[in-house]
Amino acid sequence: MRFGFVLNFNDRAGQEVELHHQPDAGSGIYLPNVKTFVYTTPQSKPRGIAHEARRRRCLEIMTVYGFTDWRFFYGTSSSPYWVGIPKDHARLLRENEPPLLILEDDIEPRAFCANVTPPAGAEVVYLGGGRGGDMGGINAARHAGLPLKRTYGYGYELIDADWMRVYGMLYSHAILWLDKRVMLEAAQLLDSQRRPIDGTIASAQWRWQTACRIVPMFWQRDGHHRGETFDYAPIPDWAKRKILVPCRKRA
Amino acid sequence: MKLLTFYSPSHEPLVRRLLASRLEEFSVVCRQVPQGDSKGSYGARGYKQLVHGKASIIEEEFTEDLVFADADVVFLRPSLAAFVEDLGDAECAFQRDAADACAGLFILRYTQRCRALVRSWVEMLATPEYLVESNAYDQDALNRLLRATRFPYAWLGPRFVNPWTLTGKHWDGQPLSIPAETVAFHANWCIGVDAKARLLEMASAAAHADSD
Repeated sequence: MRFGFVLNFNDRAGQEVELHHQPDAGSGIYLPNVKTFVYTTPQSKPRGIAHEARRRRCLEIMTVYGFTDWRFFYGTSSSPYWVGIPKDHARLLRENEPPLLILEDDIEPRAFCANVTPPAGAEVVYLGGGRGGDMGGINAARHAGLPLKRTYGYGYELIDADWMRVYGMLYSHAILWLDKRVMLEAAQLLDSQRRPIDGTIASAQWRWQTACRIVPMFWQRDGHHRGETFDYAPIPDWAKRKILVPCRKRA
Repeated sequence: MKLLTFYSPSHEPLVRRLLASRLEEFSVVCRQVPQGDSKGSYGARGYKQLVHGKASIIEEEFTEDLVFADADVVFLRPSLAAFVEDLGDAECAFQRDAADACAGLFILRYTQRCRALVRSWVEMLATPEYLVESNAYDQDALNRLLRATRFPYAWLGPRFVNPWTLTGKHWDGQPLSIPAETVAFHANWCIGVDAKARLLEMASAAAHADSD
């Protein structure tokens, strides 16, 4: 029996993506029962209108996917806006136990499935990532002797068809935290550094077992991260050879 | 099955009538909430805070299949079978309130989706848009969620009566012909405790007349 809804969301190409919600399939962590915070910002004009729409959309998503232990977290107002966000996340990481899912209010589902089985030993799980990266995080992983590859702006090791370990990957719109020690370590970093939250975490990813979905469960529909968070799967070597190299030669 | 209601002190005469009605099939939970600065009337100052608290109470008490009834409902006959029949295969069913699902008389199955619906309802009512700036109330929020998510709910049928289901308009004191098969009467579509009490008296009298 199919329990959930079938919804049609318009994807970036204008095609309809059919999403099936099948919480009784498979095993692992059942996401709708995981304690979840949706990070949003307090009402402010003129951005408040956009945030209202985002909150409405989140309410739909959380209802459709059956999340039963979630709430909005209203972040601290600050200028620039990103200064307060790391402190808020640090607080959430300190005050809550794993598993803990922190979503941002501009998420949009792509390939959501309720049951998720992270790779063995995973401590941090990106349910959605992106193409952007932090060179400091990639270099730190290299210096640590980790066998990473590069694609787009981030470093990675493929784990299986669904997962990769990532190094220096930006974005923080859908992170599942599975280890309290790592949560406290991240909280300390977030409190001590004055930079956007995803940069801080990206720079330290190599220290943790950070797994990322190759096809995102959530992408970031904030108006400017559209393509890079919808499809960031590593470019396979054959594609680099057949497509990218000839293009370079022509140039 | 649990039946939940709640009331503020201003509505105590109504809830007494509800509790004295045909609830013998249910495990009844009746919660009192502070009056605050509200008179309890629809749209009055403080009404919003009062009804916003309703969703939170429902979430707290939603630990099994649940019937929720506002304090201005009265059960004229045993109703559990009618609830279950109208619910059918759906996970929740609401009394009709014009085009809306009524947030004052409904049944919820204890399912993941219904729990998610209630959780989202509580969160929606706590957003700045609803808490401060909007004139929308709990029922508006619930219906917005139901529509936006295309939630598959059912309607409680003609045995669940209110002035709108009988006349299609607000009740302004006119006599109502209450159908003999009515199991529950909801005294909405009128404003003020006195008007509601008169409506409920009329419904109860009709039920007694039918049973005599």
